[in-house]
Amino acid sequence: MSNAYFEGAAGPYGVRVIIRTPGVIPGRAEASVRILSGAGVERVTVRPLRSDVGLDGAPPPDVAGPVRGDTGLYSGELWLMTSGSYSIEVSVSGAEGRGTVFVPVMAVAERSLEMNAAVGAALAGAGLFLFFGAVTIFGAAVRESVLEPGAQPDRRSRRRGRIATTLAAAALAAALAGGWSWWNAVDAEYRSRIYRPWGTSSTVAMTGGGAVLTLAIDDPDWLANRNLPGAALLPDHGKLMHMFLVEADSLAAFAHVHPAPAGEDVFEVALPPLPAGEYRIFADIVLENGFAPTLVDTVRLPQSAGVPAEASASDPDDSWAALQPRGASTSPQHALPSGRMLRWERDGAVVADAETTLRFVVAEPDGSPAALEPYMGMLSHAAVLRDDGSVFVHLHPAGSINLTAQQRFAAAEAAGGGAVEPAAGHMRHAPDGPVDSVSFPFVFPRPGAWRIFVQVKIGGSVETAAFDVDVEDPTGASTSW
Amino acid sequence: MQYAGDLVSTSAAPRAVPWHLLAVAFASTSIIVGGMWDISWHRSIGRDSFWTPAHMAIYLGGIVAGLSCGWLVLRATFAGDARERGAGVSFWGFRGPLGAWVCIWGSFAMLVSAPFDDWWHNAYGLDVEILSPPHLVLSAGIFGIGLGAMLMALAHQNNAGRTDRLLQRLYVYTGGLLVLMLATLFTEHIMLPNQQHAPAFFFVSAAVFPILLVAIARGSASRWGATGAAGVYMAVSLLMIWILQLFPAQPMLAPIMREIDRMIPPSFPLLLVLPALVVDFTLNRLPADTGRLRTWLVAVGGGVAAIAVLGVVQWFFAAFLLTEHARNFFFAGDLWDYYIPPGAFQYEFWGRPLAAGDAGWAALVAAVSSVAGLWWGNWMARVRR
Repeated sequence: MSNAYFEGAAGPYGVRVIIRTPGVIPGRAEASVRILSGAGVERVTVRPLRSDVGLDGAPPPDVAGPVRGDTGLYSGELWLMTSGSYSIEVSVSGAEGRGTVFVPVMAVAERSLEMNAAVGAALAGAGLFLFFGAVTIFGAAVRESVLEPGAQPDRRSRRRGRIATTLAAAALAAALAGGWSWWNAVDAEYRSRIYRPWGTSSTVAMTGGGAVLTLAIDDPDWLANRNLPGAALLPDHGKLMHMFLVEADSLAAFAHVHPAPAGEDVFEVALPPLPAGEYRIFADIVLENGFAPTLVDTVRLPQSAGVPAEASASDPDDSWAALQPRGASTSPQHALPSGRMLRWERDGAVVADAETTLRFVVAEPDGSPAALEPYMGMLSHAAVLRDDGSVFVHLHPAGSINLTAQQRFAAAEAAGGGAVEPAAGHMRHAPDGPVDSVSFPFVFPRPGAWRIFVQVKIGGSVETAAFDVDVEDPTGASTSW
Repeated sequence: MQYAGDLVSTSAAPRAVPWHLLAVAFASTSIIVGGMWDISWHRSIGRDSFWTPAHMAIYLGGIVAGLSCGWLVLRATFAGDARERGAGVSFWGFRGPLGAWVCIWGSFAMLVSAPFDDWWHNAYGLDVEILSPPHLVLSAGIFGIGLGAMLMALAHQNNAGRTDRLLQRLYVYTGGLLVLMLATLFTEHIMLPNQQHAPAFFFVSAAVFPILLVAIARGSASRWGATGAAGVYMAVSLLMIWILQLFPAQPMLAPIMREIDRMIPPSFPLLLVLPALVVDFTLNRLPADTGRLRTWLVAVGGGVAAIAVLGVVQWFFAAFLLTEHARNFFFAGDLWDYYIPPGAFQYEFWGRPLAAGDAGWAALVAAVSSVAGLWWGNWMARVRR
């Protein structure tokens, strides 16, 4: 799911931007812009900039109109015509001046649409009507059209009409068969373009120092394109790869590690002490052109995988946790191993496709506010996972967007397209004073059972909590994709 | 074929043209104008909606044709006298002129294409290509209305004893619109002058134009039916070129690869009146009592000669259109879609030029197309309902 969420500053205005991608390309994405701070907003505009042409090849921006009944929310449409990496330029102007921020978005075809039975039946019925209508017209043309007005067709005319009807039916049926195979060819071509993460192979090997996970990107598409301009990997928060491991069955074990390059297309990381089992791997990388895919894989960890905690971390920012199995608790409170309490401040039901703020508060064991410390530059990291592993989103308080990609877009546009506000740097979210709460902008893209992993750093150590949530269907119907 | 009527009809006062003929001729015009406008819209602005004026013109044509012909057949079936019922053909128990049924079929096909196209966009994305299955259904509907309009005018022309100039002109006019519709649909990849030295230009032209020109000429009661229809094709194209350029436009989709400040018009039309003159001149040589074989041979000769003339004329005219002398309001040369990056290709012929072997094949295609045109035209000359 390549929806993008951003919360930060557009010049003097605090904004939350949610880009709902269309699922098909070319298609129209919806951009919603909520003004969180800043007075006298007069005009909000949005426009997509393609990473390769930027402002030079961009159309004029579109005005995002105010959403009726929701003060401070503006909504606009983005036409994304080709697949690839885009930066959405969001500009706010008003009493406090003008501010602009760039929100990176990946535009990719993500879904195929099955035709529902009613539409299919209606179209098939209409098609049959057109078919029989056409052959009837052919028959009438041969049988009657050349007769004097008022004359009745004789036997010969009728027979010729029947022959014409038959020939027309055969010809039209052949044309329909051709159309059908054309449709199938378009469909197959489209399906081949549906985005899938690059293929990887992951293995675990036992070494003297413990278990080492090796992930190799071996997708032919990656191998063919990795040397093109813009395809080099960029570090994000100083790491080339952010990898999450989640125990596949019960989601009861979680790790956030940072594999290092071990040769071209190969990454290695010493594993923390995780229980044996099947694990899902979600590995975030970002390319120079702003494309920020999540690589997806699975791996089986043997009984003896992992080494004692003190010795295991190949990267000081690696973290891991053993958690309750999914569904074991619906409590909004999670007791951290240190005795601190992490509380999810939920307000009411969580509904798919609706804007949500996931807000968490941390308390010391005695109930006093805890003081959060930056963890890799952010006040917190969260990972949101649908229980079947079909959707994974790595969130920051600034949203889901890749901040490195955002900074590159902003720098490129500032260099080529005149002055723009610097992008919301991630340190904006690590403020000076002590803070005991974090919030993440998010939209659950689909209903179902989800788990939210929240990571905070307090007193120099990283702690992880998990919350399960049933996301409701806004329509009450089941989704088709 | 009797053409003597031409000589006496000039002084005869034309009868009033039935309103439904004007309605379908208007519908056909509205649709082709809307279609050309829409193509220009996609090349200049890029972004569209259900409600663009170009789309409105297409819908208007579909609605006018469907409603007027629908009313015509309902009246003939349920309220018509024996004469009115006898003037139509039967369709599932209903009575109406053949052309009206074709128009109704076309309107219904256009209507069906709308939800199909909507689903298509949801499933596979917005339009990138003109040709897709739902657009082909739409095109079939548009063709149906163009053909139906021509058949209705044709039946009236034939029933008027071939003396009514107004009906003859209406038939030629609707025939010209049909040529324009098919040219717009089938010549998408040969309409740029840059493409007109390549074999594909000759093959497509040889397939599309002889059948239309021969059939229209054969069905026409006037001596210059094909020329008139080709003239309508050129005149409407030229008007669209000159009018569209008057409207400012700004591209609304990234990536924008070139500056555009007005609507990008269609390419200058093919000089189709010259091959059409060849077709008319050849078919006019045929006396009424010609033996069958000779008729076919003359038609084939006319069609092949017409394509030869078109090929030679267009060979030099396309070269002219690539020069700076064509870069003006009149010829509208060198105007390109906003998403095409500028380059030297704009002033070059693309692909390999026609070779002698290609010309032979094109002549064969033209011969087959001419035979089909004669067969169709012989039928059209006899249509009475």
